[in-house]
Amino acid sequence: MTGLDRGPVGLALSITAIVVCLSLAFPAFVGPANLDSMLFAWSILIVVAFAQAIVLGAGDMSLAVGAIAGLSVVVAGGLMESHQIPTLISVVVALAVAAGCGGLNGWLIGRTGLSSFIVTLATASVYAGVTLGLTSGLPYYGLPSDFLAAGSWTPFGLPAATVAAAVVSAALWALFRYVGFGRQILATGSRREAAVMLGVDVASVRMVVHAVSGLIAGAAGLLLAARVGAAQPTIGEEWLLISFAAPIIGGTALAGGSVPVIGTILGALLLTIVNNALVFLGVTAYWSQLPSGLIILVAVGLDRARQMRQDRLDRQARIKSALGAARSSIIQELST
Amino acid sequence: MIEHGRPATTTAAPLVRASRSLLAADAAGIAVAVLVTATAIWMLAPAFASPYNLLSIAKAVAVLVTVALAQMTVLAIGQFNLSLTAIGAAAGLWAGWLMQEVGLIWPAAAVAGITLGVVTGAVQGIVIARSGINPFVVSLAFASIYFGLLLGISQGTPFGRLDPGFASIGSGSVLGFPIVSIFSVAVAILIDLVFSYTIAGRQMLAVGANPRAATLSGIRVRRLVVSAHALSGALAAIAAMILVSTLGSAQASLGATWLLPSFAAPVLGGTLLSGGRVSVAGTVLGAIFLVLLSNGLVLVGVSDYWYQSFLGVVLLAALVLDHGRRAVMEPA
Repeated sequence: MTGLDRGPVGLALSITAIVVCLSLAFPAFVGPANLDSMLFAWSILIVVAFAQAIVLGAGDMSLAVGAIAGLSVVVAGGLMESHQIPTLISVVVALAVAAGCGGLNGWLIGRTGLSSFIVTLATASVYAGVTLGLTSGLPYYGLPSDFLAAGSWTPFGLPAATVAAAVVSAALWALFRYVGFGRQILATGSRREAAVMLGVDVASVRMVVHAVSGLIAGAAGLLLAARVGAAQPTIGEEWLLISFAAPIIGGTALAGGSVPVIGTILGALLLTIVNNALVFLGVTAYWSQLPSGLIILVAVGLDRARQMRQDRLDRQARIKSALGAARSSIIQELST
Repeated sequence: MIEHGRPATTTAAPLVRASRSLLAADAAGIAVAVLVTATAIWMLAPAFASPYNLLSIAKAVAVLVTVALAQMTVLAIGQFNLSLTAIGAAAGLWAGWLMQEVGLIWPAAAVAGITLGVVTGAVQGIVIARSGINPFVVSLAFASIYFGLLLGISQGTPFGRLDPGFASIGSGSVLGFPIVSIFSVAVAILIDLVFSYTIAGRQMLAVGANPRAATLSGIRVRRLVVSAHALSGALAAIAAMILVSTLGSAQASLGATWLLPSFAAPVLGGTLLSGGRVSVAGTVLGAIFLVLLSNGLVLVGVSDYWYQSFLGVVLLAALVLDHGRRAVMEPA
């Protein structure tokens, strides 16, 4: 019931079709340089998407994913550059700040009962303001070499971000599949009253979920900063749409109760490929926002249509079985 | 201006009275906040009362009031409009292009701009009403679609050679009052009349309060959803027209800072995010409060970068206070 069963086959097929067409038309699309840059973009997008997906699974949303990433990047950059704190400690502190910001969101939402939309809209503004206020909008360029080395580190021949994305994906998959807390998260999302009656501490679950979301968002920001080679306060500014887009395209319901891990990964892949394809098709960056919006509408629209068809079939089946039962009882009545 | 409560039934007269006093408290709270903030800023920075500063406040309020009313109109039916920044920018650029490249006179360009706002808002409303997809997702997607379209078509070009008459509206005044202020007050009164006296306005509130009950009582919910989004689009476009006339140019980033204040102003004024209750007077006061806050921070010498944080904290504080007050006033 983790939502893994919500057929990502259609999504995989459309991705395959797009890739085949693009690689036939533009051989450079599958060239090593482009594959490398796509792999990195996909990896970051997966991590960003899971920061949102886990919150959606608990029936909330977070508009603060990007703002938390920006703040954690700036905290790490400031500690490393201005205060000469060792890289590892700076990164741990930055991740702790990110988890703390997320946890604060979850605490406010869980304790006050206010909608996660308005709370995270407000806190996103607070965090983004702190990021800009601390840095006056200027990036940290003098990052230590070991931090930068982590950005170009390629364990198993893969970018570090890809390994991180794989770890996050596997961890979430295992969480929702095998761990009781994962099921508590999904129950908090889909049947909150029932979860409360079963003794789930819903407020704590939401706080932890938002904290984990913050942690993942912070990690995404740091991975990007390490690769770019600068701690930019603008990291995360454009993440609002994409953080929702990949999970939603992957079949995550906004109503909560499911986190389709494979679907989210494929949703992120589709967005990455489409954005990359725009470059090959000679479309200027100005158009870049259009396809993501259209893909969201189409994906959700198709999902909705499928759901309505299923509902209709279910209803027909129910009517049929009710009629069948009535007929057999009448026949029985007549025969006795 | 009066407050608009949930549509009342005759059997719930005491409840209506109680909720009326609650509503009155909403607007009273924000009115006090406005007075206190204005006094505090004036004492800390006497430059606050300079004619130049007051004029710049009046212009900013005129824009923000209209933006906030655009969001309030959709909040009335219990939905969000995340694309109003994109709709405003599109309308502003369209009107700017018509004036600069086509040479249209400003009234025609402004009408064309507002028409684009109505159309783009209505398209979003139709998709929400017809598809049954989560309104939040639709609005998020349309924000991206409209931004993509407007940036793609305009290639980010600003339009600065407008009809001179348009800029003179933006800087002009009648009897000492800026024309844009008079205009935004007129818009606010109009929206107030829509929600208090028109059937469509009352029905929108009914849809927001309880969509199921509204459907069962024969209200044509889909049509009202489309109307609310079209009206919201029109107001976002009007806000863009006011801003373009005061700036003297139209650019794609003109609505970039609107999203948070568009929610904050109505919420500060007592409009419910869940729908069914709006307050035009409260929204106007909320917008004034936010502009005062921004102006005061600048005058006191706080870096502009921190304004966002202040805005977020104020919104959070208002939400938590409101929540606490409701818990006290409505014991379960």
